[in-house]
Amino acid sequence: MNYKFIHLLYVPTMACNMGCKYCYLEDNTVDDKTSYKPLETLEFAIKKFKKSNVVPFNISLHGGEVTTLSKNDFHDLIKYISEYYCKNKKIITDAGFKIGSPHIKTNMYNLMNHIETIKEYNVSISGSLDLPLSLHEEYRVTKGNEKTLKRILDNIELLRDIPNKKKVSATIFKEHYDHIDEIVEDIKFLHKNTCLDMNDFNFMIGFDYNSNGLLHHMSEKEQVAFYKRMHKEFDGTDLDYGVNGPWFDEFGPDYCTNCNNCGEKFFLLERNGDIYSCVRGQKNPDYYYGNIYKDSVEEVLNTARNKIFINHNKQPFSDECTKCGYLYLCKTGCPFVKNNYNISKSYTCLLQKEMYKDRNYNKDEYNDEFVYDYVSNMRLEDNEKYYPNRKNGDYPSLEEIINLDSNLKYIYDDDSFKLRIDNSEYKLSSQVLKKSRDVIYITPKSKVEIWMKKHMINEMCDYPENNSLYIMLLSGNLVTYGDENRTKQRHVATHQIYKGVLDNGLQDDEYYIYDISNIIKEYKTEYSEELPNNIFFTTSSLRDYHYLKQKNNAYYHIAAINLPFQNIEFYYIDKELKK
Amino acid sequence: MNKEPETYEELIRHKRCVDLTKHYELSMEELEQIYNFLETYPQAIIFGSKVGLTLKVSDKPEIQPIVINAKCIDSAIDGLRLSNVALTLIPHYVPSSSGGYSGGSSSNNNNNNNNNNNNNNNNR
Repeated sequence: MNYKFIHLLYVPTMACNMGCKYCYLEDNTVDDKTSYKPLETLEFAIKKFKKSNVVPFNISLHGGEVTTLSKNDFHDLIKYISEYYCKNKKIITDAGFKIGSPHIKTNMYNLMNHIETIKEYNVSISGSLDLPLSLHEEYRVTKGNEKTLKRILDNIELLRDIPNKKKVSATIFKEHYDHIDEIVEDIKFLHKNTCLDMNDFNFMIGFDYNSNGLLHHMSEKEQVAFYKRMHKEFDGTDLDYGVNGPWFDEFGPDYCTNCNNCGEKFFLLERNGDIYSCVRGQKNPDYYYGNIYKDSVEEVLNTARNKIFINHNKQPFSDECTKCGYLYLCKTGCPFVKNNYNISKSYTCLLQKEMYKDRNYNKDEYNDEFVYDYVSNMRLEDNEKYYPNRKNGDYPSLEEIINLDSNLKYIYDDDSFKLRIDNSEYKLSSQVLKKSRDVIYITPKSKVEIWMKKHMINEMCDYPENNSLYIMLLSGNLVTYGDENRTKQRHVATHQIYKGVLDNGLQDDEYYIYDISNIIKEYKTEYSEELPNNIFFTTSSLRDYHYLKQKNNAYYHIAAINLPFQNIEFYYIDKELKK
Repeated sequence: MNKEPETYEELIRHKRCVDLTKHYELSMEELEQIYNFLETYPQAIIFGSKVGLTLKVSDKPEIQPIVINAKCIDSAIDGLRLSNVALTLIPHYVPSSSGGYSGGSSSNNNNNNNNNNNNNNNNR
């Protein structure tokens, strides 16, 4: 069975028992009016996902605040998740994911109400604190403005004999950073005096979004200074593992922020069935993916992928990201934050680079190829601009050969021919140098003119009077023949228009203009309807020089084995033929 | 899209959409959507990537791009651009990091250099 694996955050309640002064959810920390019970929506979603072969490899409970649930509701949810992991263990582990214990994100203020369930199912706890703790006391208060730290520390103590994972995280803003000495001391305090695994602790770098103007982000330089200070304090200590690992893992390559498209993997489900990207995008229409009760799983998945794609593309692709060499790890960062700040690259860019360096992630040797692949998959930009230009190591490239022989210049020049079809103009380039193929549509009504720069008739030519505009028509139909047994586009016709005719015909100051509508029309029955046909332009003299060069220079022959002249591909559409 | 084209303009637009199906897996509804988009906006531009198509209007940034998830079924391309003026195919780039850079950009094999002038005697 081909399963799609997702990471699911479930929000069984929007209610919160605290009133943190900077809460991003603002007035949304009350339960929505919904008739669905906390377990009911999760159960429904899991079953519906499974029917579409979508399997959460991880289900984490998030808030609001999950510990505001009644004991029974909390117990039933944890029991369900625990049993879900047991039932789906093989599917999940076969796909390379680890099975964990039920996991909750909590403010820990009501933890004492659920200790029995936590013990019974070995629930993994991820708590939130503010560091330094003095700011926790200031910002993280109850809705009645009471302090919360003592009760939270008491609750942490209740976990001491439970062999579960117990960690905390802290979000660092400028206001916290200004107390960096205190932060260091408080980490040491928590490590020494609580049962929290401070090697599994992690920092988040705050960005200003709905913080009521209370908090401000650190500058990128301050982020790096903060990172360096933590290393100075904790490298080589018994928190060495943490500071070189989990503390800053959020800025490493394994997190949602470093996905190509996080909409393919990360989902937040609310009890009313609404699905969002994550806690950052919660309640934001640009990150709303649908409702599990109303929409099909396929619709939700498509919306998720499309919205994240569009959100990434709201900001232009930064030129800096194309050159940095770490795009393969960073993928330009979280679209939510980029759009919040109207920036093109990750808001922790400097910090990430510093961390990649320290953790021995190399710059991508094939960065140009990664950039091209990234743009091809994730950007609205024209990927042709990023087409890698790597040369075959064995031979000189065609560009190098052209640079060494100025006589070749106009065989490959992309400013010498243009084709006009009715009101549209197409600049023609050498087929073997350009990175893309242009295909146009020509009808019996089309007026097709080739414009050739006048000097072309003199290039590589002793007697221009004997020179001609050289037009080659090839069919998209293929033919295999000759000693080489090579399969090629079938030749349809060659036309040569001599200088005298060009001189007497239409022209402007710079160009000879020749109408080829009838030439194209004449061979209409020879063209392929299924594959694009081809038309090339050069001059007789330049064409002769091309074959002379092929004869004299094997590297050139290899590099220009296909017709190198300026061309365009076309379909000929005739209503009668169409019938 | 379903109706018989009456003008050459409609016929070309129709053909452009049909040609898209050589490169992408598209439903009739999606083709209809693309046809209508091209018809409505003369400056429409459609970017094809490896994972789908994005419909934009180049002179109207206020129009939210439409994204169509469509599997690219043509392994010879990495993407395309389609407008009311031209179709541009971006040939597949074979990364050198996985071996075997393809070189060259065109999948056309059209070295018809042996059709006249006896100038094909250069295979050393």
